Amino acid sequence: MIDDVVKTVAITLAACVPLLLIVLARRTRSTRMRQGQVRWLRSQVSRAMAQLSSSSSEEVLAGLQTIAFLNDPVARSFARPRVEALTKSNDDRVAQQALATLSRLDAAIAAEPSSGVAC
Amino acid sequence: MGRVDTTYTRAVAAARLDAIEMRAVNWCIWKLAMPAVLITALLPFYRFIMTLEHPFQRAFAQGDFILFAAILLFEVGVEAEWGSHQPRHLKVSSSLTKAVAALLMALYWVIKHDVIVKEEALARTSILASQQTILAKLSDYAWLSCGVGSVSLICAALLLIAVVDHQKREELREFGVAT
Repeated sequence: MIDDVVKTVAITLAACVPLLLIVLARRTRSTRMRQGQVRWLRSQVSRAMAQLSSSSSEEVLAGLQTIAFLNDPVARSFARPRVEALTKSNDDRVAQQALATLSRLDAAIAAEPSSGVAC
Repeated sequence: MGRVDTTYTRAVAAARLDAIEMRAVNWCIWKLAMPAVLITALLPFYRFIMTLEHPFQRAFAQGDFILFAAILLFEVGVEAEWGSHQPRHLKVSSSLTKAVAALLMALYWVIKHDVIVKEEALARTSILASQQTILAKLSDYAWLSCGVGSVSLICAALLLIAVVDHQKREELREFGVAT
């Protein structure tokens, strides 16, 4: 009887393998898709950070809008001093956008769970 | 590139860039694929190099794959608990994985003991019919061992992918992108 059980379990497990492989392939595909999205967003943040230091006001505006739209905590802390400096820009559009971005950044920083905790 | 973005790129590279993916890939290569390939390599080694009789039973009946599966599941169960804000389904999966690993360990002891007894009987008997019966039983154990090994390998990979997937979802949520 035990031999039959061993044989049955072995056959059942062998039958499960193709099904599990299909599930594995689907999960891998969806995880890779998410990984691609994260990479793309990181590249956009990186590009926006570069645009903040650009001499062209159009580029700076694009960078400010991206930083305001993408809520990346690491980018927030690095971008804040630069955005603050841009609020005193001679270009009114840049200064206004920098103010709007700064208020969004500060709101996001205040909403962080660790904000206000002394390090 | 200005000073701001260079500092940002360095900070990101140091702090978060694909750390979990690298860990998962390394884990899959060195802890999952490599031992599995080495255990599987016993079959061609016994068949073609040592030219032993009934190599399949000799290679897999002793339950090396079951032992490997148990260790792998213990390991992946512990790895899946990494991080403080794991969702409930991952916590349950990791506990379940460790429980299955403990059961497999017990199964390994039973199978190993029975295989040793049967191999001794095989060496002692000269009757062809009883040799065939013992070899058939050893073959069943070998198939069971391979089945448990394969299913555990896939389950371990699934759990690992679930952990990476959760981490990616969290990153997307941080970016303000709905998943």
